[in-house]
Amino acid sequence: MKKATVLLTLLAVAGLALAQQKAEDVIKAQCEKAPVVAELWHGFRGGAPRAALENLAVEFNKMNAGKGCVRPISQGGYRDLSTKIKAAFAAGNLPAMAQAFENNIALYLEADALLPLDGKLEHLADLNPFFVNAVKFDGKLYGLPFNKSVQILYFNRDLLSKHGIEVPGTLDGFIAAAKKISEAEGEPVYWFRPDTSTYAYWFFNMGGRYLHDGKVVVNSPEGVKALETLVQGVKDGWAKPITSGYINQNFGKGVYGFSTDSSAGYSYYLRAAKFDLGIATLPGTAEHPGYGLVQGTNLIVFKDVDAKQQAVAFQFLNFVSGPKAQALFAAATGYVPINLKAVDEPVLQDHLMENPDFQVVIDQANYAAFEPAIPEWEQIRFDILGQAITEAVLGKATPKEALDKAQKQVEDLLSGKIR
Amino acid sequence: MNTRLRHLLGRIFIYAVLTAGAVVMAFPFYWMIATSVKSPQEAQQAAPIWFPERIQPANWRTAWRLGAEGDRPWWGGFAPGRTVTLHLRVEDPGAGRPRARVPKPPAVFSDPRSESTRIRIEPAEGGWKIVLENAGTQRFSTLPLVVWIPKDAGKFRSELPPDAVRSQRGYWRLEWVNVSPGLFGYLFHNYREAWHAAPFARYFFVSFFTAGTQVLGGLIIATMAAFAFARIRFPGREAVFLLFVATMMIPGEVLLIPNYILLAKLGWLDTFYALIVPWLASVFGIFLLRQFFLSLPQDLFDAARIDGASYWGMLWRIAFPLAVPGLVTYGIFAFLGAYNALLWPLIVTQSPEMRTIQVGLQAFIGEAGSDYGQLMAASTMAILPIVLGYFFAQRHFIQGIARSGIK
Repeated sequence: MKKATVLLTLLAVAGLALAQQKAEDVIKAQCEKAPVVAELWHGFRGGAPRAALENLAVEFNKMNAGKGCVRPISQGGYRDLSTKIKAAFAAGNLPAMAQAFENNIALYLEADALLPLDGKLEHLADLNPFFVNAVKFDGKLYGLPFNKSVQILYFNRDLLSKHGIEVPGTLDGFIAAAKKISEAEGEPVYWFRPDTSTYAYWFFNMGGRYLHDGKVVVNSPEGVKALETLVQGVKDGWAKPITSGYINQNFGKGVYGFSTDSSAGYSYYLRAAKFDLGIATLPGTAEHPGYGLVQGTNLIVFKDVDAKQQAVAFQFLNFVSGPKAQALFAAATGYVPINLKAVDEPVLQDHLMENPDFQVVIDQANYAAFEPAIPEWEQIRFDILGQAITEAVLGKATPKEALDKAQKQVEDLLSGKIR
Repeated sequence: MNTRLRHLLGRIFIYAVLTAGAVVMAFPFYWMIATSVKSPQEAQQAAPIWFPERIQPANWRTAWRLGAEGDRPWWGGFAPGRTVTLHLRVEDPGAGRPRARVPKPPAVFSDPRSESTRIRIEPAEGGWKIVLENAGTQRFSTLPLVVWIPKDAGKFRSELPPDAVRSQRGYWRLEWVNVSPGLFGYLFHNYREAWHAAPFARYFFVSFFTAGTQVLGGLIIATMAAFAFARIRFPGREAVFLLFVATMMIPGEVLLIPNYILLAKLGWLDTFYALIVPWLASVFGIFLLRQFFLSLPQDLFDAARIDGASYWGMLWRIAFPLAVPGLVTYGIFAFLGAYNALLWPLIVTQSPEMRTIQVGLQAFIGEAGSDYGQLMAASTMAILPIVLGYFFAQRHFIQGIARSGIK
């Protein structure tokens, strides 16, 4: 035991001595001198998004030295973040800013916790109108779209040229291409995760919508058709459900041809792929690309916070939504640049020269689809609808049965019968 | 002879089974350590790579030379005025000149490293050489590089294997996280990056201090409470004990928000109090030690009583020394519980100075994928103290666990 104690003490001492300087520390030093500190609670655990956000904060604080500073604080993942915000709301120690999904915003609005941003955003006219519309509640703007990703088509260019097949542009063409290659290869080449996101692509492009006169409907005929297409695809041997890990973690296990996945995964796909990985806008109709589900969060400003902090928060929102900051952020992370003028910035031009495929993400953002912004959506998406989709794909229920059951659960949830 | 042979065969069988068991148990550790020295592309392959490039001695010499050219042979670097030369063999150099650049970190407005590095690409025997010169005044610890080679150039070979090769239209895109690594800088790249990705030194300190204090304080409180429940008769003893045990039924998640609010009211958020105090009194510990004390013969305490011992004396001089295995068991549980806790430290702390090692490990998990190489390097660092601690106190651990019958 004695030896262990000595060892632990040594480790602790060595630990203290080795601490070093990084973006987080720079921000800390900047904020110690600042008269006003506005906290930004976010759900980036690490990787390029977190580094990019911290670097932007460093830059903002440098420009704003002596006036105010922004301090980003990672609160784990998005679900941890919303738990912490609920707790902080109850305890009355909210930050000035936070990341929030549209359904989080709806929830926080029930508690009247947010400040409208109307008239505060100087770049509003240049922002992607689809994204801006998604954060309007009762005609008021409650969020600044920030890290937005959109569904795109990933494909194996080597495999397509081997079979002499063009990148499909329509839904029918997509199914036909997947069928043809799968037959030739003897195994399914369209890989998908049986979850609400994949389903949303088929659902939206078959004309489905979740809200009917303000009521959530998950078992509409289009919904059943979308799920049946996936289930039939598995039976017919052109679609393969990936049930463990991300799709890009399964490369090498079988022949990969296509997937419809979030653009946020692009860098991970690239890293894992040894074949020529291509991306394209989603197959849709002959006239235009398919609609892709938009995910990712917005920045919100809380109401019950010191006005000086709010003022710094607004300055920060204007800074990060500017063309240059957006160009840098998009190039670094692969998120969609929310400021439409960002593409003219040299930084993004350079990035596009090197990664011409990134244009796909920018184009797809014009065909964006959103899930309903209601407080209960998170639960519906993961625990009810997601569950139904998995069950149907794994053959535990027919698509109709699974969605009817989900509809019943949704109604019970919304009427307060279950929690 | 026959019996001896059978004995021997039996032995061989037992050893074979034990060895197989040991291999199965050690396998995840090997995977963790092997992954901790993989490049991101290697780490993401579905078919596992058992011998990553970085543990192959053939690459070490190049890493040493490139490190020496940049700055130091062991840890590499890129000092002002130094020149690093990377040779790249291609089948057909006539297919076109490669392109090269030093990538920038994400979303910086300016980057001294890529701005002050001069890149020249010169023909060399059997291909090209990429010459990188530090024309600035600053020293950099790593030198990342991206090179595009036309696919028409055929097969290519680089002295230092690229960390990732991707097909990009008409080009192969080769990426190195560091072309001036030095031997250790090459082998332990993920460890160094992981260490710098977050203030791990501080995280270690916070984790150990929190876990250590919880164990010490928890032991004192649990021992006293358990002794009272086991050996002191007082009215309502059973009822109070039942109430204590009943609290074990409440899931921790339910208490999260009320506890947070309480700590906020006390002004303890983001302090060691928040990390330690709520976990000092452990019903599980009290229960465990009470059972231990109950198993001691009553005669011992009667004898002590006759000799004039107080309750305090009976606890510290009789019960405590006899319950050491139970205390060790509880200590291990409390320590591991505190060391591995994630949600609680995440919720009650804010500043990097107050975060724990488990929160730190989150830094390598992204929303659409994870950086396994660095995650495993950091995990290796995180469990190292536990493994070392186990070697030092092996005897107590095994006794404690064997006697309590729980794992």
